[in-house]
Order: sequence, then structure tokens, then C-alpha cells
Amino acid sequence: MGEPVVAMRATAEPDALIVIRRAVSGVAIAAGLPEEQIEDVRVAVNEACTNVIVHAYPGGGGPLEVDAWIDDDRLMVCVRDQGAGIRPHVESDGAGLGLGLQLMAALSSDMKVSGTSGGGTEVRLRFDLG
Amino acid sequence: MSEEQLRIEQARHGDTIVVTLAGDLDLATAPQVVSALQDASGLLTGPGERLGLDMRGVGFIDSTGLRVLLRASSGLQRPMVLIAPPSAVVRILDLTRLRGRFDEVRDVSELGAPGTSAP
Repeated sequence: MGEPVVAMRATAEPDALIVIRRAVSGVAIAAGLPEEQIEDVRVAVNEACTNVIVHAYPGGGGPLEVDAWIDDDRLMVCVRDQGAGIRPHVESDGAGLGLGLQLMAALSSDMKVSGTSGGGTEVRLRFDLG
Repeated sequence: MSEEQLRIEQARHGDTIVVTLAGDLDLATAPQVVSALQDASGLLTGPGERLGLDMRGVGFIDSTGLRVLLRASSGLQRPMVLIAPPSAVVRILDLTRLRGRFDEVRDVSELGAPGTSAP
């Protein structure tokens, strides 16, 4: 695994999203991804982070970690929280996590969701180059 | 910070109340858009009128933004019309198969007569 090009520690709140989007866009550009794929990275990572902000910490903002690195011919982005995470559950309006997860899966080459030893959740997104 | 991320304006074009967005539509800016679309909906005075969303300046939209648009359109007598959505927005609408929930025109000038919508 390559060293993270970007390792961000933010508070899980809405205003963190634009900063994270810009940072991962920068990594995607540096990795030489085509423009459409850079957009895919922005949306997919944003969805993962939004899920943390909305679901991980019922009492308010907690840690939101985003690491992005280039590994051979792929861009990897890892979004982690230490809270309840994004384990899918039904939203009151029935449309909560469906769209977000759908987009994450459609826009990445691979997506893995796993629990971390501290009780949080890690979403690992892979974007194959070219 | 969210006020800098998105500019919102409103104007009437014939039978369409057009809300113009410039910036990013995400969890941070969604409340402003909800409020603006609610205000604009309140100005619709008859069944022939509709709500329009000028998206030329939208640089980013996510599932939160999509849900805002869906909710704004669902209570209306005519579907909300999306004006000049950028290709990145169209891509997200296509991927989620939500594009057909809205009317769509390429330019404000196409708003034209009631019932106009792009194929």
C-alpha cells in the first residue's frame, strides 16, 4: 500500500465536505485520472463522508478520517469514523441510504465496507485508473 | 461557509418561477436550497405554473441534493423543470434513474409555453 498522499482528520460536520472534495479532487488530478473519473471520485467520497456526518454520531460531530493514496494503477480512498458508522438502515423516508450507496457503488471500481476494531466503520473505495 | 458555497436567485419567466443555483448542492447547502424552493413554490398561483431550477452554475450535486430536488418537485402539479443541467449533474440523474422525474430544457429561452418539455 502506498503512503497516503492526503490524510485528513476532520470533524464530521457538513462544512467539512467541500474541503474533503477539493482535497481528493487534487489527488485524483495528480494521479492523472480523466475528468469524468475525477467527478466520480468527488461524488463517491462525498457520499461516504455524508453518511458519516448524518449517521455516525447521533449526538453531534465526531472524527471523520479520509485517506487517499495511489497504489500502482489505482486511486484508493478510505473514509473512517469511530461511531455508529454507515451500516445500512432504513431512513424514515425510505430514501436515506439507498441513493448514496447506489452512487458509491456505481462510481467506484470497488467498494468495501467494514467495521473497525474501535467500533467504527471504514469505507474503502477503489478507482482504477484509465 | 455554506453561504459562500452556493448563490441562489429567483426570477419569473412567464409561467415558470425560476430558482437559479450557482455552486455546490450538498449536505451543507441543502437547507438553503430547500428554503429557496419552498419560497418559490409559494409563489405559484395556478395549475399552469411551474417551478424551474436553473442549474447552469451547479458544480456539484450528490444524493442529498437529489433528494431536495425530488421533494421540491413531488408536491407540485407540474414536475419541476431543470434548466441546462451540466453533464456531471445529468450523469448523476441518469445513474440514479431519476432524470425522468423532472422536465428538462437546455436553456431558459425554451421555457416557452406551458407544457413545454425536452424529450
